[in-house]
Amino acid sequence: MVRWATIVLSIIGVIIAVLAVTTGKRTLPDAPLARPASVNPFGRGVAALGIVEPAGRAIEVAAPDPGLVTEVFVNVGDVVTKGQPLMQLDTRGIDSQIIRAEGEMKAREAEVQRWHAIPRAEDIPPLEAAVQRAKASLTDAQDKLNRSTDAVKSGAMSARDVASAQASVDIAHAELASATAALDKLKAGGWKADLDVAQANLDSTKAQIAALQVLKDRLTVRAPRDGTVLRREVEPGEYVQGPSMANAPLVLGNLTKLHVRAQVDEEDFALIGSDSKAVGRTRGASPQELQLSIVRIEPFARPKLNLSGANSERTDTRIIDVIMSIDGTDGTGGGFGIVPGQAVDVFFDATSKQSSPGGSKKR
Amino acid sequence: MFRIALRMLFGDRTKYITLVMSLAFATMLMNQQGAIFLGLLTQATGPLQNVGQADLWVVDPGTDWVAEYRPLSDQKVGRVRSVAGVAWAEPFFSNYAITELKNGNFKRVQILGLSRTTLAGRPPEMVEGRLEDLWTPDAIIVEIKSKDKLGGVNIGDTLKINDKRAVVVGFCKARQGFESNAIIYTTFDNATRFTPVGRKAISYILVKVKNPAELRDVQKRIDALGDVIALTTDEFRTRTMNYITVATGIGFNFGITIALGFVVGLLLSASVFYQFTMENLRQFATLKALGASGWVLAGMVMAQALVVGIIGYGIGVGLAGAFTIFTVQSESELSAKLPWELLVISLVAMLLTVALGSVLSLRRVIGVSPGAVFGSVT
Repeated sequence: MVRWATIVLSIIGVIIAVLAVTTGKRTLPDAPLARPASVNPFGRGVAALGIVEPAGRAIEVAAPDPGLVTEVFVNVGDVVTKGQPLMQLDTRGIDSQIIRAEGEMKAREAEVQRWHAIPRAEDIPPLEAAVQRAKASLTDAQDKLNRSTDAVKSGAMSARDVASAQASVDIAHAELASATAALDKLKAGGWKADLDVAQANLDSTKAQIAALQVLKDRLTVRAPRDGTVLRREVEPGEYVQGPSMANAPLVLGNLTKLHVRAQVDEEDFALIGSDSKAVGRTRGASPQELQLSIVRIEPFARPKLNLSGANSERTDTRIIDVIMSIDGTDGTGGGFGIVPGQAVDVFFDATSKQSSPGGSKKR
Repeated sequence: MFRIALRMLFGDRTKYITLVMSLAFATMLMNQQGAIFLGLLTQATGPLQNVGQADLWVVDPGTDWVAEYRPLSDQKVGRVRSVAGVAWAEPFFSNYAITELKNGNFKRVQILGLSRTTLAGRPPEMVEGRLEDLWTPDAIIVEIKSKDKLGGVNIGDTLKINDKRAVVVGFCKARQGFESNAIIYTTFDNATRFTPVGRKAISYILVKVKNPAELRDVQKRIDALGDVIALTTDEFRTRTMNYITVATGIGFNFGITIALGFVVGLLLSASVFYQFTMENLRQFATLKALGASGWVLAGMVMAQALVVGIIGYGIGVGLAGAFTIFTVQSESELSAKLPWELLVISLVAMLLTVALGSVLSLRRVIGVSPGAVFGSVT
């Protein structure tokens, strides 16, 4: 019976082995993609990554200086006109300087006033009295002289007395002249040169205040041109960095027309021309096919900015920007649900251009 | 004559069982070791075991095997998409990171990053949760066997991968790699956040061709881009397996074991068979005395060898097959793979073994003198 047992075992063994072979063989399920991938619709196409942007780009409005934001006047979606205030930075620093300058201006003004206010009314009567006194002294001296002259004729006084009286008259004349001059000087008021200096000081302070006002005005950030507020990254009480800030506090854009900016690899660039057909495809839950037409090709290759949202911005190959408008809509992407900043897979028709595969050999 | 030969064979029960068992053991050793070796090689192909959607893998031309890749820039995706005949091309990310477990321990995980929109390269089978939840922030899907390695996490738990938050949203079934790390799936952008990546982030670009018949043409066109080559899954697998076999000690080690199985089987069966023939030499002599030619006797010996070889082979592959099925079903860390090629090769090896084993005896059988039936066996 042993032989039958071994033969049966052997047959069972082979069956098990065959089973093992079939179980080990596993074909992977061709699981469908979670969402349809962007398929190149052209026989030969150039694929590129595109970003929707407002025509004329989105403007990242920067603060002129780093500072505290005290007020933001606009909200996302607000339509603004050129020059409209967007946000207010803290002005207190400049305000304090203006207050100080204004105080200084008042001092300067008072000084000018002072020069204008001279002569002081109370100063005049003493001087006038002095003139009167000098006049009286002169009269008295003159009288003495007359009398001395008569006395000399009668021989009651000597010629020396006459001379002395004459001198007294002279002195009285001089004193009158001096008193009159002092009164005249006082009455003439301030010296013009002094007044000019004071006036100039006042003007300089005024100019300083005007300059500070300009600086203060600068702290009100205004719309550089008409557009819509696309993003607001700032709230009152927040501190904004200066112009080098990575995230602009406000982003403005003209939403009346949307463009798609595609970045074409320099190696594939030769395959497209300004009349190439282009198709864009949005990503996500319900992708949209967009018919695009090339507006312009920016004639300047630059290092690629990574747009796939990696942890740091990297440069790699060089790319050429191609700007396209979206056909078949009012231009705003309305109805398509397209917003600026959205990523779009763009395919350019390259069937018309004959080239080696991929175009890498033909640069 | 053939029946006489078989009766002769089955008559000596002990010798017969020894012969069958030694041959079965040798066969089992060859097959089982071969299966483990192939299983390991298959494991070494890592993500290649799990991606079913892609026709082509675009990699750097210098790629030796799947775990060593030179990252590609994302501009390459655009260039590959531009190639005629390509239906889609999606980036695929694979890298390792350290994750912190709740108990304070750590574990190295393999992070597989899928293109955010299409999730191309998705895990083949979900066990729990929904694949679409990968679109939620910081989401990861954990390979089910990695669940315990990550401290028994559940859906909704958070992990810390390189200090970044990761939320478990589901469990999937996927074949493990060589190193049996924990495996997690996430989106490409999450993956690049979890791991420090250099200037270039993409590990492989997965490509589907529009028309499968054009596969070779598309492959050539992608190769013509320069800097990259396109490999089919099978080519990439072969490349990986060849590299592992040559560059690591695994191939050599298993080769030795398989050779040992062959040699042991050969020596054992040859010696037992020789003994067996010697003991039956008297019967052969009788047959010769009855007029059977030497060639007929040789045929009988060969038939005996063949029968014993095939029966031993059957039992041996049965054991190896049972082992393989057990390994596959239990989904243990050890993997085994028993392709039909291995069965054929081992069958040939087995036949060779018994043929060689019987050659020694043949000389004696053919040359036996009819007189030996009376005399002592010399």
